[in-house]
Amino acid sequence: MHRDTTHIIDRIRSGDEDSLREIYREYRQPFIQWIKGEFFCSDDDAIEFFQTAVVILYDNIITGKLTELNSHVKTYLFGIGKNKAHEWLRHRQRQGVHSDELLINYLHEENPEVDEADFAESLRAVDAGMNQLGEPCRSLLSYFYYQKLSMREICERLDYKNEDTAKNQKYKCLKRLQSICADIKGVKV
Amino acid sequence: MTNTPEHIRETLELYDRGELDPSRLLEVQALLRSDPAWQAAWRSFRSETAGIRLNRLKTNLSVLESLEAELKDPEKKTAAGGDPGAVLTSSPESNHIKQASETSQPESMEETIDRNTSEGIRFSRLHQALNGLKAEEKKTADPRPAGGRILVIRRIWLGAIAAGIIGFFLVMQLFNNLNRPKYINQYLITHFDEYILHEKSRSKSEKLTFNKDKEIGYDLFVLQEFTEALPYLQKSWLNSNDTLSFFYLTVSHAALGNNKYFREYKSSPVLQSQLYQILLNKIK
Repeated sequence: MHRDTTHIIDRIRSGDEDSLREIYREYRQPFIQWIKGEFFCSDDDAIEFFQTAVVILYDNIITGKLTELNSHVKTYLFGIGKNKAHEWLRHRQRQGVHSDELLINYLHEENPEVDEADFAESLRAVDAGMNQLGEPCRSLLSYFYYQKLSMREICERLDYKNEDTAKNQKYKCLKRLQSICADIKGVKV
Repeated sequence: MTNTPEHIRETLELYDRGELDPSRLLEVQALLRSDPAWQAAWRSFRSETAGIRLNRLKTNLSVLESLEAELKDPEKKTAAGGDPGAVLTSSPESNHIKQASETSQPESMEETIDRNTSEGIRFSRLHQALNGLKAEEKKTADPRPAGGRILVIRRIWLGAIAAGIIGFFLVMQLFNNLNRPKYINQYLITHFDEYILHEKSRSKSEKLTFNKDKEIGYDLFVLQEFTEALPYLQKSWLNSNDTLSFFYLTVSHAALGNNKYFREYKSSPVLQSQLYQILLNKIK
């Protein structure tokens, strides 16, 4: 099936959740067969690589690193998968591939000045905090800090009366998140 | 500029979103270079936003995991339903076949239909071509003047001689290609022997414990068949934790000109011993 790559990028940016599922269904089998042939990994590891690659593709689109594709989505996706597999091979994590770890390594690449272990700990705390926060705080913070939507766009998506209400809500959510994270880190210490 | 934590936070948010005006942007950049309070706040802000990003990515990941479970579900049903093929797919060796044949059942049906259709089109096209050739054959079998036939025979002979000459040069070219070195790193072309370590450094008892992948990987490496050696060396490294396999893997990447992987592997903690580093540093 020929896929219009620009169309895919636009769909992912506009928050169309089905687009990722479609990509997943379409390239799953060829990717698994290919990566197993290249790296002699198990089915489970191949699936972890593939899921990580799809999520990183999504991240690259949302963060604006990928605005247009010179090649096919498949080529791009396989390229990410190959890099992740090489990374795994280099660190030789024999206990198997974990998407979580691959994602944390991926995010650490952008913050190399921070100690990897400290960075991972902070990330896990914020991640757990976000899960504890629940909705709508989770979406609100994600829209603002990750997708970098404007307050007007956030109002539209979350049905707030006006931008001031959204701003206030964002402030409260952030304070709650910081408090939860402090608790999580405190418990660990 | 005031330095309360709230103010710093608000400013950093604007900075991160690219919403600061140019003069304030320069001011903030200077503060981030020099002021420890701003640097600490920036680090904390970066960790926090990276955590929020991770949370979003993991949400997507869980969506994909659910989808994966949905895709795998028909597999279980098929196996439980007493499919005679399930016996064949129960051995570890046949996992690959099982994955390929069962998980993609709906897609493979489509593929079969597509393949049948495309094969039919192909057959129809070949059939047309065959009919065309038959018609041509009839024309050439038609009686012609004797002079014309001699001309045709001469042309056929000349064509055959030309084809023979071209074929000879192609075979020579192929032979030259086979004899060409299979690697492109210039240093390794002349110093490859220095990089064969298993016969120098390993004891006989260690040699006895060779597994198949390691043995094949080493042999292919010594024969300088680097492309073929890569999968065996990878497998040997992963399954038996053999450092020398990883070293050979790194050298193979260098030999093949895969400089990115060569540099990455070279910096791995596994290859930090003096001997490995000296040898790897020699490769430019």
